[in-house]
Amino acid sequence: MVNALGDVRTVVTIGAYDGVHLGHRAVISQVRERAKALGARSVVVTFDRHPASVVRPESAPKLLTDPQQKLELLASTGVDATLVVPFGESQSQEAPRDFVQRVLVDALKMRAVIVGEDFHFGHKRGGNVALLREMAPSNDFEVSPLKLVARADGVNEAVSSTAIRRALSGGDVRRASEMLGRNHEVRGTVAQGDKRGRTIGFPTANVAIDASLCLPADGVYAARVTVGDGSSHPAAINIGRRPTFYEHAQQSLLEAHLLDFTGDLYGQTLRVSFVEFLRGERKFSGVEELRSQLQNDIAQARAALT
Amino acid sequence: MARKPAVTHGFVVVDKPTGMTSHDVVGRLRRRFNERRIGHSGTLDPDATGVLIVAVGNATRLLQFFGDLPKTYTGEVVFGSATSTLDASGEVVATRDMSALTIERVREAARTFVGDIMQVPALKVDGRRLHEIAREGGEVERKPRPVTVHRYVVHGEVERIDDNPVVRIEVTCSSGTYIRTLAADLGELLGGYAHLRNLRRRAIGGFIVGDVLDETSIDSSPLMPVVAALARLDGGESSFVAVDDDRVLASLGDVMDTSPSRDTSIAHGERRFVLDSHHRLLAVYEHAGDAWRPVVVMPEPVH
Repeated sequence: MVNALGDVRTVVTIGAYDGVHLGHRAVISQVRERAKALGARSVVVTFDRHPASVVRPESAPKLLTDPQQKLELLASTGVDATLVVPFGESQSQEAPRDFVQRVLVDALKMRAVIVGEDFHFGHKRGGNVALLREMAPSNDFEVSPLKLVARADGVNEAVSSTAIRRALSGGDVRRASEMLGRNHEVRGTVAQGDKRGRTIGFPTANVAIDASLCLPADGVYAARVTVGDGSSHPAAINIGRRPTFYEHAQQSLLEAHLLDFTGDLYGQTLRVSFVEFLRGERKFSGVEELRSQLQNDIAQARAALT
Repeated sequence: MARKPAVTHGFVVVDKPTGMTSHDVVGRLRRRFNERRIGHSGTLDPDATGVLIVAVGNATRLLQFFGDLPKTYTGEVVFGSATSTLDASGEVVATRDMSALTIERVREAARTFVGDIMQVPALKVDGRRLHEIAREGGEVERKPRPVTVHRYVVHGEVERIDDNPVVRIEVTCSSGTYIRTLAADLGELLGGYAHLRNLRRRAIGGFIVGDVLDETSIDSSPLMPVVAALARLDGGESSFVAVDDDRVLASLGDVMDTSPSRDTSIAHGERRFVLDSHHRLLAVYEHAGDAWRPVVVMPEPVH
């Protein structure tokens, strides 16, 4: 990791950046401004997994973005570079001072770092703003505090990955969208299902979603689904344990019924972008009742997506 | 004849239709579950639709934990007219031409209500609901009280009535906030009048319904196990502790003194749901500074 950007100095921010939400974007725009003023490059330093998944795996949060999505979203912010630090057992043990020296000073030739006052990093959260300030003079970099910008959209809630996870855990994808600045999106491969949907006239794609990713609460949603060829389709999404047919199923399943689409999706990677919550899960007394509800769901999804 | 012991305990998230009181919903669910002990969180006016959290059987003991959850409402603000009830059920008492009002000005005005504000409440007076008194033309003295508006989103114009705009709003607020008061105050701030119509409670905490009324939910919404409902109380971060030690189980309901350790990481009022080894709820404890105090002890373990 020596001389990652040649001799160019950098303005850096560090964090998990899960979700790349509006709060993250506000920080990055400050980093870009400062970099422009200093004639430096703007860099986001992040990790290849959530640090909590190494340090406290039992309570690690579900991810809002997979690593690939995170890189794509960070690239879309206009930041000059993203440095992904592998975060394994040894990194979690590394002294914060060594991390700053090795990554920020030696590799990135950091000229300035922008982080919040409550920022923590490194072994036992021992790295903080005080440590950065202490190391700043001898390593020729500045520590800039984060300017908190009041939100202009009529929302008084701090944007955080945690707040977004909470909104999703209650199924409120609309509120999650407000904080993300985009719809919450999950990606997964279409697995061979049991073709049960087809027998009642509603073919669905069973999308396998990695267990590390954050799914909205069980229920039915209106969503836009991008299929393998890049085309986007309105869809009704069911997330749940399918209570009618599988009484004791444990894992939540994501089933997508694409509106106005015919074709085989098996093996394709789908991108599911959640737009609206339509209804919670329910039990049906029979196939007829289920069928009429699905018709209703599709009509509602269509209305929500147009 | 002795009543059969209740076998049904849990929560039902109901989407209340218009024309029913919250109590009517309770009556319907008493018949559905053949259970007398049914309670609900957060009364909705008969005209309003949306989420009611209904507790069945022993779950009624746990309703207290649902009362303080933030609530999200959608509704439509009709500018240009004030009504006696502040909503569409009342008589129009004043009008003003607000046809020049733009959505940008409405958004700007709505933002000023976000945060901690004082609101003149609409409450029960002498055991009667304010909307009943207001409908009869009664005057009610109301003292302002603090509420919190977390989010006040102005979605857009729905239609025009007498050339005045009708605007769709969405508000997330503390328990006890009156949306029709917010609507009326918004009209006043914009130099005219306004009242609220089509109030719908979209969510109580993490319990949500869609934008479109689900007419069948009272009969078809599934009974949610007690522990599953509690798990959703705190944004999916509720704290459970599983206990399988007989001595601890024997002392269930006692105050657990934690003063020797003085664990300062535990905040006052922090809550723990105590489960047995089968993941059934036994009790709920809250931390009171130096000890864990039992708030609810279930008469029998419940899933």
